[in-house]
Amino acid sequence: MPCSRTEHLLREYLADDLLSVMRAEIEQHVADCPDCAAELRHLHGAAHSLGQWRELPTPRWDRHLALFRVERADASQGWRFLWQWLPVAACTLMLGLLLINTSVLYRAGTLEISFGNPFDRDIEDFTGGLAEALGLETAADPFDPTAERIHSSYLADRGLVLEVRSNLAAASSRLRPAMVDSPGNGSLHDGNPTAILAPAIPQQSSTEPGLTDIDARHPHRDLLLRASQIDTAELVNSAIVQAGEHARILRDADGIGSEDFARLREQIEALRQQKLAVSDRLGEFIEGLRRDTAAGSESVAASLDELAGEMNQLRSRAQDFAAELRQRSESAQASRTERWRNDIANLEQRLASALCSHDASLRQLPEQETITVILTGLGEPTPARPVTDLIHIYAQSDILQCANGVIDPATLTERSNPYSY
Amino acid sequence: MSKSDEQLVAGALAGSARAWRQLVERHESRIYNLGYRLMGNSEDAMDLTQEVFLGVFRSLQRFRGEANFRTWLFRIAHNKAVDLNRKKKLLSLTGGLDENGGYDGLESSLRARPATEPDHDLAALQSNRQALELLSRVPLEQRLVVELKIYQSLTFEEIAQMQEISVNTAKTRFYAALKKMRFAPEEEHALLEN
Ligand SMILES: [Zn+2]
Repeated sequence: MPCSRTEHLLREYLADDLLSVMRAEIEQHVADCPDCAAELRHLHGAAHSLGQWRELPTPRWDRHLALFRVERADASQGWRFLWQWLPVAACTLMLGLLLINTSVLYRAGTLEISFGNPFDRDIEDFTGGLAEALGLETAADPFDPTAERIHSSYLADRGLVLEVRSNLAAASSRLRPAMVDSPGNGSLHDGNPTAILAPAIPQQSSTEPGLTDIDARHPHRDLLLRASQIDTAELVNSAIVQAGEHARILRDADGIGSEDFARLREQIEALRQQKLAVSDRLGEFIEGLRRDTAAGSESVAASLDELAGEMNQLRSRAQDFAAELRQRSESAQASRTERWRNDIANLEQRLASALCSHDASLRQLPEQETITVILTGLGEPTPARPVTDLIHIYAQSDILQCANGVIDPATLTERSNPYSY
Repeated sequence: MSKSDEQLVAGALAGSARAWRQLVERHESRIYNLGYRLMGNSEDAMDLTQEVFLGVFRSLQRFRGEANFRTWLFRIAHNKAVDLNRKKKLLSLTGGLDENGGYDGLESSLRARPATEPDHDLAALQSNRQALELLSRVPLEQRLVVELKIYQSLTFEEIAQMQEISVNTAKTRFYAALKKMRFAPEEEHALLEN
């Protein structure tokens, strides 16, 4: 006969605040009652099966960010946002435009959010089509929280603002033309090489035995003066340092691989070692000359000539090497910059084509309004701001003309007057 | 150090989209999975997730740290799940769909779903399908108690408050649900033999 207490006891057993005496009592009963024991096992079994649930990743969604930005973004953020796309003109007009009616409609279980404009759905379709046309979705991890590739906001009377984060921007830090290291604008090739040498390599000439106070009666005075005039550090060192800099720029501009770079570094190091060796010998020579006043002038002069010749040879080798690397690094940089500009031009072209062909979904945008497209991180770098955005403001009237075949996408791009900010 | 939910709510109220985003990101997976278990498929789970966070957004101001944020979130989720379920039922009725057996469409939703979904690996799918099968045996109000108790570790007192029932009724619902989810003797045999 089944146990009559099972249900009552096991239900109580589940309580959060079960008293320990109760617990002990129930457990005692369960230990003695096969019915209750079996039932408890079943309940545990069910709970265990439920507990096997494996968390599923959340599909990508907007997180109501667009809604949030329209309804809650405070004045300061609103300003910052505006600042991005309208740096100078018409800022004062903008204040009142953020006040937009928002309504939320529930329709048959699905949810539609309207920002007080009648074509919100169209904007969604439009940005979707744009993302596709620009190939933005393909490389993105669908569960990456930062993968919000196009963010759209609509400002009544002004138009649609799209922030586009392309894959190009992600790679931009590597591809962006080097501004700071650029051999064209750096101090590297200016007249004063010692300025950049100072921190890099200690000046060796100054550590050589005091040549400035040579005894006027010293028999080898002329030789010593000549020796002191042999370039031991500045020009050779300068060339070596420049070679190293250009090799680095060459590598950073994807001009050479890491193996080739290592080989260049070895060559440069070999030059530096040779230079040090000649410097050492020159130092010894001078030291010997000072002490050994009896040495024959002719043989000493020949040795000095030899040393000077070696040093000169070393110097021209280093300078040639530096010049060659400079030339290679400049052309690598030029082609890197060209690739970068081509990529951007290509993106702009696709953008314009997409605007023209997908326009059908945005015909409701009033003709006097604009579509502002912010290409995040793709603007021209400046020394002050290495990362800027590239901004296009397309007039809806131009877009319509393009859609109707009156102008081509390239003209549309031109008329959008792109600028970096 | 990451900010507390309460700090993020305050940030969102002050207009920080970043705070709002962080808040949603922190909890969306919990709500999405809750929705999946209650509704049985990804689409409805996502609908529920969006509605829950819309509800949170709409009533941010009313959340003054009175309860903890999670409990508050679950209350909204609970109510939205009931709403959504009612709407779906209504739709299926007006659409003339006759659902024999199965509660609230969860069972039919399971049946309608093919055995594979591209996103998830098979092991997760099997254990999840088994859990869904068990959950589909009970009506929504019981399923909600199971959800809040087993997956969200709320107390019966908290659950009772949400459902506006007594603590005893909450316990009874939970017990009744688990009882319906226990394996039938033949199923148990099958399990043991496999
Ligand atoms: Zn018993």
